[in-house]
Amino acid sequence: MYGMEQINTATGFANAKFGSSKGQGAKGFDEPEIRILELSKYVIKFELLNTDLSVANSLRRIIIAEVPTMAIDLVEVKENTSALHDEFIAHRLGLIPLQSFNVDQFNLSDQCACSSMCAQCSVQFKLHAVCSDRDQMEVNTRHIQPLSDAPIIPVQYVNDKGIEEDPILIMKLSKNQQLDMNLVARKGNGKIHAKWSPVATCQMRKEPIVEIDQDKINRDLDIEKRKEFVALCPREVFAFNDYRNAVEIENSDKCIQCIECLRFAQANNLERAVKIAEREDKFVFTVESTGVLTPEDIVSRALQILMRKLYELGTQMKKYGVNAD
Amino acid sequence: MLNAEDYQGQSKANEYDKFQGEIDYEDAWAVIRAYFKQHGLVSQQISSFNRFLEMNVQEIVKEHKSNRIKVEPQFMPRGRNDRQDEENIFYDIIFDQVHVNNSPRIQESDESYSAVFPHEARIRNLTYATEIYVDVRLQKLKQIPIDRSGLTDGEKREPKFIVLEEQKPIQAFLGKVPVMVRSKFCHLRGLDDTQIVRNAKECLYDQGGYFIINGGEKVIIAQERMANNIVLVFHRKPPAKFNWMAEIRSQAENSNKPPQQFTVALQSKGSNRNYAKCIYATLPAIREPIPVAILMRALGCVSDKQIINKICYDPNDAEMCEVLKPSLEEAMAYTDEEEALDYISKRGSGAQYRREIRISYALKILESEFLPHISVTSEGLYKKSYFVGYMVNRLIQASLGRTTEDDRDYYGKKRLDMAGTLLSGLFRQQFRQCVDDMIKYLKRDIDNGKDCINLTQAIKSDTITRGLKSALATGNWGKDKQGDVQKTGVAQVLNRLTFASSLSHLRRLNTPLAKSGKLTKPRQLHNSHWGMVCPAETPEGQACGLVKNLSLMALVSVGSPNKTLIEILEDFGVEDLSSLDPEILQQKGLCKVFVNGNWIGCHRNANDLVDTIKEMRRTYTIPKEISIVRDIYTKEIKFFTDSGRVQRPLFIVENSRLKIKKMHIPQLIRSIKNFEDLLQEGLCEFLDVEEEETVMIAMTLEDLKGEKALKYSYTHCEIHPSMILGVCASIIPFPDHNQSPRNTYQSAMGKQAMGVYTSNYQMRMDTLAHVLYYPQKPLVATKSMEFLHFKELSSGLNATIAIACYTGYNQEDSIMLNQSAIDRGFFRSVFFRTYDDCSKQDETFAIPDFAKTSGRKHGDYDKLDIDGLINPGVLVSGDDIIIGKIAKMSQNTFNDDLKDQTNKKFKDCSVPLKHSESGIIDQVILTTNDEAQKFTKVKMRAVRIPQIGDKFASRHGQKGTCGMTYRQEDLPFTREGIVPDMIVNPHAIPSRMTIGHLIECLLSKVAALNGSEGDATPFCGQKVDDISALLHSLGYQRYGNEVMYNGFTGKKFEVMIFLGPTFYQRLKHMVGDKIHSRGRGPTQILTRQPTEGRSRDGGLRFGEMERDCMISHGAARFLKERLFDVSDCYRVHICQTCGLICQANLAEQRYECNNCQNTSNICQVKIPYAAKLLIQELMAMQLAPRLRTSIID
Repeated sequence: MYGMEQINTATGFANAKFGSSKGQGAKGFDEPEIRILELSKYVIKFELLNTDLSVANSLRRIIIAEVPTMAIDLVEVKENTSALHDEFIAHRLGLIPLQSFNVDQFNLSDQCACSSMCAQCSVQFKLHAVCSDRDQMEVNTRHIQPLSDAPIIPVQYVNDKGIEEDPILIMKLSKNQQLDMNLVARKGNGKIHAKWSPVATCQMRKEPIVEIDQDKINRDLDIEKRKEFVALCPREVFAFNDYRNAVEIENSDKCIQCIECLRFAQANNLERAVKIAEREDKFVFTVESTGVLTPEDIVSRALQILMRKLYELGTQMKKYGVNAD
Repeated sequence: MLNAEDYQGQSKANEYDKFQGEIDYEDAWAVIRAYFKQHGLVSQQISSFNRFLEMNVQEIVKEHKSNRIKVEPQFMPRGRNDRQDEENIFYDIIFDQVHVNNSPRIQESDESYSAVFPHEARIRNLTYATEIYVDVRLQKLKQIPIDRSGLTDGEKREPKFIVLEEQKPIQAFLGKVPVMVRSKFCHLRGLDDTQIVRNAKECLYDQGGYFIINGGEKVIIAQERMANNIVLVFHRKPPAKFNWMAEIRSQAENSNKPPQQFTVALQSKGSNRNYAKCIYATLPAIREPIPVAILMRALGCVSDKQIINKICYDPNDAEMCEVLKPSLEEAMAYTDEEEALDYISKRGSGAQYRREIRISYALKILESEFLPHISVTSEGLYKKSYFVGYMVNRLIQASLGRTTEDDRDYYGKKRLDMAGTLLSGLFRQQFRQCVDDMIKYLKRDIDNGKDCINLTQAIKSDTITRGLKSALATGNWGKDKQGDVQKTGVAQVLNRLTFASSLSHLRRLNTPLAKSGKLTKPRQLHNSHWGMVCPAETPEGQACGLVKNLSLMALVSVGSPNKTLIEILEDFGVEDLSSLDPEILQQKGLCKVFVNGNWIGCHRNANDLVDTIKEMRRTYTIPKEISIVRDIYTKEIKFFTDSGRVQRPLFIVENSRLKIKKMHIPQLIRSIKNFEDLLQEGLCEFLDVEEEETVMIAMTLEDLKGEKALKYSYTHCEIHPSMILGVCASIIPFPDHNQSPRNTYQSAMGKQAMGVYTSNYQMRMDTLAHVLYYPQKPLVATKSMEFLHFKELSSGLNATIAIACYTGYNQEDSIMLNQSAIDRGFFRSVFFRTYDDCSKQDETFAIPDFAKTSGRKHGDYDKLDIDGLINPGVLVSGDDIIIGKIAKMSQNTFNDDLKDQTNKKFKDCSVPLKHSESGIIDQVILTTNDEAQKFTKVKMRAVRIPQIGDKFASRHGQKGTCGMTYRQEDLPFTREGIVPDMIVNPHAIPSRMTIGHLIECLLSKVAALNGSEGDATPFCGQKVDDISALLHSLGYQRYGNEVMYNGFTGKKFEVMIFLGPTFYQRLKHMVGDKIHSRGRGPTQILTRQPTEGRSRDGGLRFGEMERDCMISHGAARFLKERLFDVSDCYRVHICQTCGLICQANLAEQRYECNNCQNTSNICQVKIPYAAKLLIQELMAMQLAPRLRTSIID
């Protein structure tokens, strides 16, 4: 099983020394737990506790690539006298995030009962823009008009104060140029094309562990060296206490595992005074939505997909007589 | 911020600094900016062309100013034959002023003229050319019989003429000369930026410097050659007859004669019977080497003393006289001028004549053929004797070891023939042809007694128009008397792949040397190339080192007449050689003065002369491009005014201080002054290679401040050392940290990168073009890029690169790409291809009606519109027909049979799409060309999405093909969620030592985090430690390494990975254009073997080496299958009696050998069709190859 015996070659000592894994295997974990740290309109930050790396990484992979959303997939160009060619505009349109709170209403187009396209698997839009009275004009997502009443529309960003931001710019037209297109949005996921990925970033990190033997450091190093040690960390994990003239850990969560401090310690014969590692049962996720779904929705959908997959795996294993445990 | 008081206090202290203070590097870049603002990057091309049309054309016409035709009345049967009175009548055709129309235009089919702008010329396949006219007048002259009274026998008197009639001068059309875009004769001159873009539809950044011939853009590549009129001394290894020789290739200014080679050589020991080393001279038209003393006598130096004076200068120089002694002794028998001349003449073609003729023959050779750069008249002989003396002196000096042998590869002795010079040569040839034709034409008219003589008709403008056009179109420059091409590849099609590649092409130099020659010396980088020729940019392989590129700030002199300079020199006390006492030459302070290699005189105070002339140059009293070389050791002052010298600007230093001060900079920045003003004020000047040798140049501004300034008395300072690089090498960040060949590779590769090649690419119809979707300006740039407009017309993306091994799909220089990034538009590009066609006589654009048309192609004709052309926006693929065209079949061609059989009147000449390509029709134009034919261009577009097999490269000669694409979730990620766009294998780094690549990545990371732009200009003293300190302060590991996690498992990698943005380029080589396979397919008609090449859907050759493998493997059957069954297997029937191929009718089972009356003894064999062909060809040659068959048991 994973976890126990792994030796961190960079730090040179076994993870087991630290309190992260309590000497239990995966079975021994408590019930997995999610603790939400931050939640805003577009970003969720949460901790995933008491679970294995494989589960955490699966969640990460599913968030990026397997949560279905809607995106423009078919563009019919009726008129395009702009400077950009049809394919270029079509590619840009495809990347526009569409509000997909209702994705579940739709079928994937290849799994839909219809022969080519129907209201169950697609949403139609119109994009019409003419620049007649100005020298230059911006075509943005506001020019995309839905042709049905399905609530799938381009994302309109709202800033922290609740004020709408400028719509997404698609292209610019100069005088006497026009654009007339029919757009069709379809359901898909990030595996097919990145435009269906619901997230801008999905960050997953293990919580860092930083431990120093303060006594040893403050004893064996002179003040200059101690200051040097503090300055070595690019992320200001350590601080120099001016009253005590001592090195302290300021914020271990900032640690990027660059082991600059460890190297310094090794160079000064203080190998055992600094310990850098990561907790193996606690994962911090930061999921930033593109606006197609709310961030918490993305995570819960991802978890559902993960559970369905595991359930599927379990039934299949049973079917072939493998012990599902 | 400073408060007011502080500021005042400081400003007083800074007052001095602000005005008289020394400039820093920021200011030096302001000077460089001013230089490029004025000169651009192609001014060497444009100034040379302007010179050609403004001056050279007129000069060439002047050379043929007067052309005389003698009337020789012909006998006219049944005509008037009473023209005896025309005995001594002559006609003179006199060319005067040349007029060049400075607005290029064409004549349309309705005879009207319309101005043509470069863009229209490109689109309509026209030639961008302008007319030149010349004032011509005709004079009728009568020769007055020579008055022989009072003349002795040999004396001659110039014949006298009286003008009988004089026609009014007319302006005759000489021909059309292609015009260089953006020259003084181009429509674009003087247009402002908006006009250039809006009205002329040109690219804002295009700088011209090329020609447009039949719609194609042509560059004239500068040709490198040895300079004329320069004495070079060489040593030959012992077995040679002469082991020291002094050579000169002499050519008079403005002459079209090929340069005359003249050599004086010192014999090697032992070759002479008295074991003395004599000096010989080889003269033009004289078979044998002439003893140099005899030559000197022939030139008028009769006494030995005179000769010694002219050669040794100092008669007390015993060592030198000793070397000369045998030569003088050898010539003892020939004591006076006439005897010497006779000696020379006897060794030429004048041997069989009598003495007087012989002497005058030798005189003529010496006057006009010998050292023509000094003089071609009889007055020059005395000067020539000085020059021969000088050459012998150089020879002896070198043989005595006082001076060294000359270096053939020294760049100061090289000249570059630029566009103007090359065109002048061609124009001279064509104009002469034109004049000769005119004279022939007129003479026929005159001799036949035609009354009205029509000059306009006699001058055939076609000669020049066609001559110039075809030379530019083919690149075949000049023809010799046999009509063979002298040089090829002089004009080339301008490379339009990337903007930088076009720029680099316009600054290219070629050395017309045998590419196969194994001599490595001329290919090597020479010290004297510094600042003139890019040390990195040269092709690999055959042309390595022969094709070069100009450095960024290098210019090429256009040449100015030496007459004015010589007059000035005489005013300043240069004593003319012809009035000089030879005795004077031994005086100590005397300096020889040369102008363009010609020794014109001597001066007693070299310092003063050089200082005054330099001052004159710095104040523009004489042209800035004249070079002044003072050689203290040899006591020579050399001036050069000729064209083709490479020059570069430098700061002038006086008393260890730059003459340019802080106060000059704001004026430059605010455009109150330009670079020209700096030259005029004597703050900067242009130096050529030879003058550079005589000055002391500080490398950096710091050198002028430190101890070095006291140690060396600097006279000049480099503006910036990074200016030694050329166009392509200037794009490389930190080239000073790379292994040098990597910079060379990158210089070649940068030209294959895709980007935006011009800003007007949508208007243009280039046969092939690639445009990158979202080009970015590099995060890390060099300062020179500003002048190359690399940031405006970029050719790559700042991709996030991880240098790592991941799944193994990036081995051996392959790379892995992020598929999600590709989905989002990473390195997407469009590809354009233009097809064109015109309807010639009997041809029509139409949808072919196959009831009446033969020769249907197997493409789809349905996509054509009724006018026979395809519509924009149509999806096309494979062999689809995009231009429908039919040609009327003529009555009497060999197609007659075909026509009768099928009753078809037309033949299909439609244009199909290339069969391996597909895309969308982007643009279709229909217009007329200059021959008033309907003319069409069809542009197709296709989007190219990066895929496995496409080629990418950084700016450090690190190229690789895509080996795998992975989606975002599969790629390694950092704790911040960053996923690389590209993973490069670490093995690409150590052996190639492209440290610049790593520093670029590091600085890019800092730039990206900072929101700044990194400076990677070479020789600026940027330190890696500083960059990493910056990165550290931004919260990252100092050397750019990051902890990463496996995308598949989430596990942490055991090592940290070097991660950061690097500017990458997509190269034009894509698998989509190369992928090829074939099962069955077309065969060649002649041999019935499979065709060759992808474009013909050809087979893949099973070659000799593959064959060898099969043989050694013992796979005979397989081998037979590959080479025979699957290739050109053919069945023939052989008469077993005679062994020849016989008739066989398989359907009726009848076999017969006509020859042997044999119908039974026939056997069927399978042979390659190629063998059958050989047999039949042999039979056609009356050879009977007989095939004998037998049964093997």
